[in-house]
Amino acid sequence: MKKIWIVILIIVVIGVIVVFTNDNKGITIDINELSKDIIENIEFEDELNKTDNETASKLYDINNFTSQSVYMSSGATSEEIAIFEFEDKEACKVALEKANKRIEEQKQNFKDYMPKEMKKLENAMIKNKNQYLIVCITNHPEEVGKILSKYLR
Amino acid sequence: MEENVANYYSQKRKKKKINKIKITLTILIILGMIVLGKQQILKSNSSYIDNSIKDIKETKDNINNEQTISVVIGKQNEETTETNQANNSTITSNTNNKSNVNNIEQKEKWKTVGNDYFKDAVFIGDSRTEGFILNNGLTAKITSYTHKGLTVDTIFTDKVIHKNGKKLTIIEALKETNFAKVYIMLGINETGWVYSDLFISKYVKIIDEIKKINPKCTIYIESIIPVTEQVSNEHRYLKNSKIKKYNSLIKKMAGEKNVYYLNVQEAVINLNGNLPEDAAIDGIHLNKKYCEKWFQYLKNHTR
Repeated sequence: MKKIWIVILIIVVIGVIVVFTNDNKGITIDINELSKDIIENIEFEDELNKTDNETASKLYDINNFTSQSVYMSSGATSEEIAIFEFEDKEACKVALEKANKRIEEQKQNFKDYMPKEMKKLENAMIKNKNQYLIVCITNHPEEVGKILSKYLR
Repeated sequence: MEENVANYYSQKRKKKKINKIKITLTILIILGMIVLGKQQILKSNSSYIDNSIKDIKETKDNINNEQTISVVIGKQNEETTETNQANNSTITSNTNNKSNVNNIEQKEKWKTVGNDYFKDAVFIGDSRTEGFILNNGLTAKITSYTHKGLTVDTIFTDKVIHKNGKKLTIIEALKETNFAKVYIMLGINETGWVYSDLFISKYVKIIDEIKKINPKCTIYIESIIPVTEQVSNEHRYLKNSKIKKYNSLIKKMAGEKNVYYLNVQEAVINLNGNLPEDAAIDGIHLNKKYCEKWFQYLKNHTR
């Protein structure tokens, strides 16, 4: 009898582990919905316009995304939103390095030309979650973070 | 004795019953957890909408209409399609007969082209040209060598172009590029310079260098687009009066160097010769709508 109880307990424990770890693997984000949410609820100084795949690819030097939602400014500021989806986590990690490189280049571009933009670039949100890469340059990175957390639950 | 046996079997039956109840409860709990877990996964998946990647060229306008956000600073001027009182729209008298002939010829022979015309063109300029390229969706379609704050000086000195694994100046990058046309807009960052002739002499040097790199190419020099009245009144050095003066000198230079002068400001300025307030968030960098007007002007003025 005792052995049966031990077996049942092990099954219960495994069941608990399986159920709760499955939560994090299945995240799916509608990136267009997310970018729309950010645009509608965050105050940007500049006018942001959606770019096509080729432009997004060239700006970030990323070619292997499965979908993108990238918005660029008029040039009056450094503001932008860039959300990419990839096949897997590994592809996303590589893209994260390229995003960081872009932000560093933008810092070099703006540091003498428009120093007031440096604060936005220093506080740029650059985040990867599973197969998603999210970049947002704005005066309100905390608010963007709150919006993003809704999609990552 | 019989009583003891009866008791024994009775307790055994009780124990069996209790064990059965325990097993049943445990199985129910496990099942319950599995069902709850699946519900949670389904909940997180229910927000997923399967969006296929659309053809951006076909839907671009619709998406931009829905998604564009503008923050308006100051008053918005009404758009006008009336003829602008641009100083450079008329042909001024010129002691150089050859360049005068060229100016007239230019006016008579402009052609309208499509986007394909620009496939072998290079666009050179500062942050405004950078915005022009981006807002017209040309970033991946044509060659552009632009840099924020670019001047007629730094085009020769600052290594701002990444090409073939190297960092090059714009002139160096041009030497490694196949092109048939060049579009140049420079000057707004130099409006703070004291000596206008220094600006022009350096601009001449750029044209000479391009002709050396590619003697057969077509060179288009674009007029500097003015800023808004507010910026012109308040900025330390960006003044439309200075821009007007520079444009007059640029036009003369283009005639003397036998290259084309494109009065692109005509496409965007208002009756007062200023950039309209609704054309640029900061009064300087044109938004998408006005970049598209600029591009249309270029498409309507080619050789």
